[in-house]
Amino acid sequence: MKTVLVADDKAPGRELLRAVLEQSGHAVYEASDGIEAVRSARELLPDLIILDLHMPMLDGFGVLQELRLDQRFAGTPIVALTASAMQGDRERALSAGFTAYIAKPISLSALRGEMQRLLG
Amino acid sequence: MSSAVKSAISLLVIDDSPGNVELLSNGLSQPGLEILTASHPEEGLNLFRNRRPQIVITDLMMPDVSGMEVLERIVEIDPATDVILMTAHYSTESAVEAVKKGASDYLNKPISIGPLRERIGRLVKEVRKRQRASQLEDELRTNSEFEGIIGRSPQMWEMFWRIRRVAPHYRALLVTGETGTGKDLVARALHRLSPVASGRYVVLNCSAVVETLFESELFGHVKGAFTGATHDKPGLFEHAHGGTLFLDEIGDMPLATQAKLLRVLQNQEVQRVGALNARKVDVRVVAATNHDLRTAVAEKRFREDLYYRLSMVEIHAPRLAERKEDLPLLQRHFVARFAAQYGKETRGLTHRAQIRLSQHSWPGNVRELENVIGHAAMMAISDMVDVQDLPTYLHASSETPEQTAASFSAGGTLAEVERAYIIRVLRETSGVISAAATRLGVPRTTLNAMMTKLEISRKDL
Repeated sequence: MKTVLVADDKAPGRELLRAVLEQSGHAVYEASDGIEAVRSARELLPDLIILDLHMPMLDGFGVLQELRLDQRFAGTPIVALTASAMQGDRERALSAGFTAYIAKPISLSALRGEMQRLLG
Repeated sequence: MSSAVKSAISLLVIDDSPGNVELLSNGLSQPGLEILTASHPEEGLNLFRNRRPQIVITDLMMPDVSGMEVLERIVEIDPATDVILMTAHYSTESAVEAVKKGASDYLNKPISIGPLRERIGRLVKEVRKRQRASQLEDELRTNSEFEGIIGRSPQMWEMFWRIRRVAPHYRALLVTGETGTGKDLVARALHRLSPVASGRYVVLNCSAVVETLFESELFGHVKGAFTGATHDKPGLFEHAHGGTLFLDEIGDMPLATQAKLLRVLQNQEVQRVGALNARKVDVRVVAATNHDLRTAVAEKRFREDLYYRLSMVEIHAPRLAERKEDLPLLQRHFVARFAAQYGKETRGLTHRAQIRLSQHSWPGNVRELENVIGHAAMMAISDMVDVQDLPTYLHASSETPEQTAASFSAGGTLAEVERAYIIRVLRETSGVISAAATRLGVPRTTLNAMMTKLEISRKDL
């Protein structure tokens, strides 16, 4: 069982990720904005972090930057949730240092595949 | 793989738009895959019941029965089916519902046939792999089963090997092991592999016999031997003639009877109580005990000569805690048995439940595990047994502090033991520091400070 932190300001989005991840036997923790995401990440030291790019207070890029400064997250995969309508988001996410991205609307098979790859 | 197995994979398309059905069945057709189609949900469900396709693609919005309901009914019939929902009205809420109900995917219309075709190709491969895996699992199960005893650990292989070696030759033998380790199964295996396998297998539990009746029970009596002996009666030894007599809990046998048992073993003849002549018997004796008979000998509760006679060949049944690698195998075995017994579709244990079981110390050994799985299989609502289905004493980590302390090797410094214990609790709380602090009974800040002092980092978890 691995620990996953999911940060998204939209509750249904968090719930979808929770449902898929819990089915695979992982423990899921939620954050509903960027500040909460940073705080929970430091407290939980999760095995994987999933960040929505567009969140209030601090967006996904901001959270990533904050966490990448912290040695404890050097090896932690951090995944971006990108809206597929925003073509530029994916490239920006990868060049900013996200390990991978998942496009919304979420394809379950793509999500399961990525999680399997990143969590082993 | 034979072509017969290949052709056994099929896919069902359910959509009320004939155009879509055609598009999908043409676009997805590939070698080794049979495609079934239905333009009405009820028709689709009937087809599913009769043909049991491994993959189903269904539209979400259909007249009379929605795709969500189709999903529900299919999962109810066979939870291993891959069900893919498609809709022109994607919403995250209905995607969540689909996942929770067991959908394997949720697709947005219009469907791009190329990627879906690839995905179906992968699913077909997966189904084939699953079919092979379940074949392998069956084989594994037969290979890790020895005369009804389950195990693959080195301790069990060693025991199987000893049983196989001694079964053809022994006359008397002692099986030791804690309660619940399956000593009776060992005795039965010895009988079945012995040259007298076709003879009788007779069991006497020595702790269940009234002391005054012991000898008559074992050796029989003649009419008038004592009050109530109205006719001649053969004992269990004569009854087991040409077979095996299993004496369970031999440590509870009265000393006087022990002496007579020894004589029977030495001379291969019994004398009924009150009889003048002895009768020849040919009986193999397996005795079992969960007590330490050497202690009983030292305390003069067990005859030394009988002990040596029996323990010339000794087979030890290991504790479950010594062979925890056999847990998954045993779980599968018991789940399958109880699922059949209760007529449920229980398939296995969730990862969490397996972890919980592996943390338990199993003082009651395999019998305790059997009871736990039996309880859980009865309680389980879904097809997977989860933590809440286990008996309540297993809900929390069940180790007592004494057991925990005992599992750390003696001789470590206090700091070493502290460090190891903190790491262990952190692992059990998935690295959640506040939860670990609560379990350790210290404030979070204290735990943080201790982790720094003891140089515990994420790497250690």
